Amino acid sequence: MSSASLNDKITEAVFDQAIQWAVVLRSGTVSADQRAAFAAWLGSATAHETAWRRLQEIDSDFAVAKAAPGAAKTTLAAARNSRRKKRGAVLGGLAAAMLLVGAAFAGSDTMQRWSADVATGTAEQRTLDLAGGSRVHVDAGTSLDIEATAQGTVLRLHEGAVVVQSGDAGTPIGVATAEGNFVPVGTRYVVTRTDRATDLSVIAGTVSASPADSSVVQRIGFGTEVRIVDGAIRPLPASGLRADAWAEGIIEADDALLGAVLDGLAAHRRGWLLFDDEVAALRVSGVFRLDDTDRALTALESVLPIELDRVRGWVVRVRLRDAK
Amino acid sequence: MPPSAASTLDVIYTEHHGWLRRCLSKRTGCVHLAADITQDVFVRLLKRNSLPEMREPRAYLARIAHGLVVDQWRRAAIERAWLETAALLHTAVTSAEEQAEIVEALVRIDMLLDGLKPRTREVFLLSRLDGLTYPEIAQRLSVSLSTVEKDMARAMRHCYRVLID
Repeated sequence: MSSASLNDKITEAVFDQAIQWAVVLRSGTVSADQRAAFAAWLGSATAHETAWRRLQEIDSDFAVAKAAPGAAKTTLAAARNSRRKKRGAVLGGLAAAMLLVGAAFAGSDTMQRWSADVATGTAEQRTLDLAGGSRVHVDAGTSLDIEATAQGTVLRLHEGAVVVQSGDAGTPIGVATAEGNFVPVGTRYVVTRTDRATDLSVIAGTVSASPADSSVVQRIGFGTEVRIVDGAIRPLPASGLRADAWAEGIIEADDALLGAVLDGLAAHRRGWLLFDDEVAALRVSGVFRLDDTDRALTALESVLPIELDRVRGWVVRVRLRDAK
Repeated sequence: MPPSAASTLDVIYTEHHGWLRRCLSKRTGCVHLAADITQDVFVRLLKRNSLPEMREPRAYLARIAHGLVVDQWRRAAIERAWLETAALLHTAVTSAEEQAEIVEALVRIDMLLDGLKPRTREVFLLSRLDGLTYPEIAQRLSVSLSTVEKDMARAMRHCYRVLID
């Protein structure tokens, strides 16, 4: 394919048609009539052919990966997972890189966006003491910006989790994510952002929650947990985990799903923790220390029908004991 | 590239490439990687038809370098994940070439799918990787057929945007 053809302009409308045809042809249930209609469309203009060829480029990588679909999917999921935990550290590094340049042109747009970054890596927590006695605990694998607005300080949470404890004086500390905004009324609350969803857990007082780009405001009282996803606020069933326990360096579970406990431990250890749905569905109660996750895993192994399989030094697989 | 743009690039190279390399080797902890990425930044600029107006060339270079470092790190994550997964699942890979080709494809797929909603991503992967039909996907994910179709269109539009970016 020549580079000239790649640079041809294709109108949005033609491209939309190409996508619609691709949707039809990839259904796995395409009829002979549909194939004929597609061939007619393809032949009726060179722009159609160009648009179609470009869409095929997307397919070529999938054709290669199809040789091992299971391994390919697991690899993609694992890479995303490890990235979620490491992103904080890398963004932090880049913020520092930008600061080196900072003196030369403080005030440029890029600078303002990156200079306020707070980022934590795996197994790293931080406490921020803000004006007015407010305190923010930042969990591992978290990145956020601190923004001063007319309404007060807002933490822009990109991913990870924060516990916000409002001080006695000064303006309240709000939290904003891509999914929603939270304004507290003298309170302690936790905001967690993972993969396009934001969870709010109110521990004391009340928090006003509103989905991003929405005028809906809902008052969330203490002891309540909600999730904002796809622009809607929904109550979360009790998780059995104390939402702000990580700020004290522990996981506190009361009949919680083992999967949730293992996820919590994974954010605080280097390497991978692998487990399947059967293991995740087990129930567990107890207190586990985040600074010694090996001990926590050994403790879980002693009370549950599971066994640890150290595949490599830093890959631990948790499986049901009798499922050998 | 018009001659004036080329000479501008010369100036930018002379004045800033040393700075960029030092900055990157501090960040990545590897002088060779830093040299490679610095090279790639300027290759990328050379390939452009026109240079944007750069009031802050260093900020501009740092931004491109940032993208390349992220790419690098994406590749490393995929490579590591693939090796672990292949070992765990006892995937039979016949040759080193085949392995490299799959990793390369996965790096690009990972990049293409970045930013898709989880369900859209899953629908697309079930269709393109697992080869399921739309009715099968709809059943697997307990969603309607039209949701599957909309997700497929959304995913392809997204991939295309990433490709032309």
